[in-house]
Amino acid sequence: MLLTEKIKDALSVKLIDPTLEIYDLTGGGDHMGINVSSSSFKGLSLIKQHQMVLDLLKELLKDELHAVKISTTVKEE
Amino acid sequence: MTSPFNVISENHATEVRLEQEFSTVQNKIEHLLSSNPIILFMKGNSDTPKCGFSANTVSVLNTFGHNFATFDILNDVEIRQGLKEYSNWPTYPQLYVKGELIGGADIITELLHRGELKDILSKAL
Repeated sequence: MLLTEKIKDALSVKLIDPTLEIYDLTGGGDHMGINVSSSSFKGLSLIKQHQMVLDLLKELLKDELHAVKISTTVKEE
Repeated sequence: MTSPFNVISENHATEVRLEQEFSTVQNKIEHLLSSNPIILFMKGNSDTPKCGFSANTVSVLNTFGHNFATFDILNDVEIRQGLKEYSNWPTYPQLYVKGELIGGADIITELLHRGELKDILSKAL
């Protein structure tokens, strides 16, 4: 399974109906930029939003995913 | 003759160091957080930052004119490791206002662009 699919699955575990843009930062397939929008971020500070994403990607970050550049936005229902 | 275009905002950062011994790294961290309303844990200090992200964050903070403390994590490996677990954040710099982690360089830049950083910093006054 493609890394982007794994990232989608990992994030969808907790984030409600996430809208995702995943792009490769360096071309090597292991430094990924992730823009994620979800209503689950509502009321959370920016740092808490990023921590939530980092926690969901914890397993992937141990091995396949070397670095991520995260940006999060609150999705209005 | 100093160039008129060489506008450097005044440096409001003061480097703080740990004066006394602490029994645990937790106590060290909590002492630093409670005694400095705005503190930036960074690599180096405002005069000699040792990382681009830390340097950028110092200059962003200086544009607001509030005094803030900096702590050089390269001088204290215990804090350098301990802070990552303490706040569940893997990288530096780390900015804290009133003991609360605001973020790293990316988040601080994002907050600046969203115009939210001013209010966050004024919470410390």
